[in-house]
Amino acid sequence: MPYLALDTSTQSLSVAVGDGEPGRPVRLLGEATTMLSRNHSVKMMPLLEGLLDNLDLQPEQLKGLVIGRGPGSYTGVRIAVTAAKALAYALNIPLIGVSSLDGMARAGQVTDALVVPMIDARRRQAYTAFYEQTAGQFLKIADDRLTTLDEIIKQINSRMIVRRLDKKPAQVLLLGDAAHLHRAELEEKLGEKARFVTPTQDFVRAAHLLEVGVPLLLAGESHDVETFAPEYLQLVEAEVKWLAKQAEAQGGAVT
Amino acid sequence: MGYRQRVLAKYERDRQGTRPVTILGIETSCDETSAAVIRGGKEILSNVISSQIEIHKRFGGVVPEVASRRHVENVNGVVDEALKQAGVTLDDIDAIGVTYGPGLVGALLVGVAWAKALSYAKGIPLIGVQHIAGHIYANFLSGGGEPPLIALVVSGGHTEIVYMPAHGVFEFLGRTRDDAAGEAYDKVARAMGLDYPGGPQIDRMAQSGNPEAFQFPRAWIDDESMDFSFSGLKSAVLNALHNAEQRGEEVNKEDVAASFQAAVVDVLVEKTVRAVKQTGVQNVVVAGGVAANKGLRARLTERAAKEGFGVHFPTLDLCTDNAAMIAAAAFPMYEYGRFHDLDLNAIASLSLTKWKDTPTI
Ligand SMILES: [Zn+2]
Repeated sequence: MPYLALDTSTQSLSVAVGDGEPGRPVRLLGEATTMLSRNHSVKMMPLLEGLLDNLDLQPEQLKGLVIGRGPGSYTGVRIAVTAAKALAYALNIPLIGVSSLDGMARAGQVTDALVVPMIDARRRQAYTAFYEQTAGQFLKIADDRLTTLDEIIKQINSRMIVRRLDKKPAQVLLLGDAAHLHRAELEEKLGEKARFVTPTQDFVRAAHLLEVGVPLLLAGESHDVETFAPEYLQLVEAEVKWLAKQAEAQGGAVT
Repeated sequence: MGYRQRVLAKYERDRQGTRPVTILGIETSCDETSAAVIRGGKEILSNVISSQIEIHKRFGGVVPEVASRRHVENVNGVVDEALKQAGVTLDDIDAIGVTYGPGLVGALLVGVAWAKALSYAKGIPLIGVQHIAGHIYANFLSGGGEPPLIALVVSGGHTEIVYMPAHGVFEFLGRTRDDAAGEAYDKVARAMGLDYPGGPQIDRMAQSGNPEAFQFPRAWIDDESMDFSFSGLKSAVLNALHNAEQRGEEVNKEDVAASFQAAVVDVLVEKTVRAVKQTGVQNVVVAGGVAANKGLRARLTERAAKEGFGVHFPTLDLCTDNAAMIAAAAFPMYEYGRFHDLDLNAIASLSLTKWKDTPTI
């Protein structure tokens, strides 16, 4: 039963097809990822078409879709999400959105370090989430959020204390463009604890999204196709300003 | 079978059938999410428009990122509603027409990404449509005559006189050298303290004002030219308002609106008449948001009757952005068999005359 995964929320453009059956790990049939796409809008559909052609699959054979719904570039994430909404509608198949951070973090799923993907959100901020192995399972232990570099470092340090108590190694594996961008500072402030993946593993992989999303689809979970939208984790600036003005107009009662 | 083969096979098959061509149109270039189904190029089976105007009003104009987000949330429901109202399913659709420019690039991308994925999923031919061509084609949905014709394009972003010798072929005879007519309306409206969007309000106020109360300038450029310039007029209106304020005088806003509108309409009508005389074309259509303007409709109709050429305006519901006009403009491209590939991109400043040059499969 072939399932398709798509992600366009960061620099990488990734599509993957895998077989899924209940109670078994997803079997990857094929994956195509490019790191140089300056224009996911132009490149995504041809890349998807090429992959399915290579696998001798027709679109109507797909059984479900797993979509990286962000966080990441606003315009970028909309490419895969919008295409997926049309595919799900036209093919009448279920769709599930999963965090693009999951697709990045899973490069570290066999380590026993704390895994922290970081997508740059400018002004020393990043989109991040925390993951670690527990009883052989790779679990998300802190949800997607937008926060500052300083706060991420603080939270990593406090996780390290918990990990020591749990007799887990006090190590953190850092991924993503923000980890790369702030590497010197992260190394300085986290010292020995900090590890970084090599560039060949440092991107959102659609194959990883299949691992997260296919079991959910097989369990009968899916998003409502019509209302499905990216997870931006941020309001638009004009909305923030407008809301602040509304609050002010109401006598500053809203805090 | 690959995508191109599937599309071309479907085209061959559908061309052999007797069913009239049914096109699904999708439009997301600004702040309206719209989908429509058109039969035979001219018959509107449905035209669903989800306007975001109430959302953007609070910001005093369209916020591109907000518009893009809303399009993603709206697009499935709008297309589904358009198919339902038309009483068809995706299997009845012969081609998809989607706006790929000009417009807000992030907003355009939503429609383009959606349309491409649909085209791929079902092997339906894909036709990227130039938005202004869509506005011109709104005329053919409401009884406008066939080419050759002159199209007067007036909107917030455009003021152009276009010569259209045949379907899908466009040539500029004149264009604005600075502000678009609609832009001048918006700026004057803002200076008068009117809410966004102010153009229609000026038109309404102008109905009860004296168009000769203020002598605002008309930029003729020169005797032959069909180009426009509205920045001088805009400045003159802003000056008049400013001077009155300085002197502590109350201006009659209806008079300002009427005098401003008279200046705009004078130039639009005169240049259109020039285009008709120079080309010998007997048929004029008006396109774009300002085509709804009552002052322009009245004056151009009157003048056309006097000069002896035909003029056609789209019905009011087809003057604003809508997908029916996009599907209508896709129709001749379907007839020509010109389809876009899956690498179709949104182009913020896509030109009308370059439309037919974009690569096809
Ligand atoms: Zn328009």
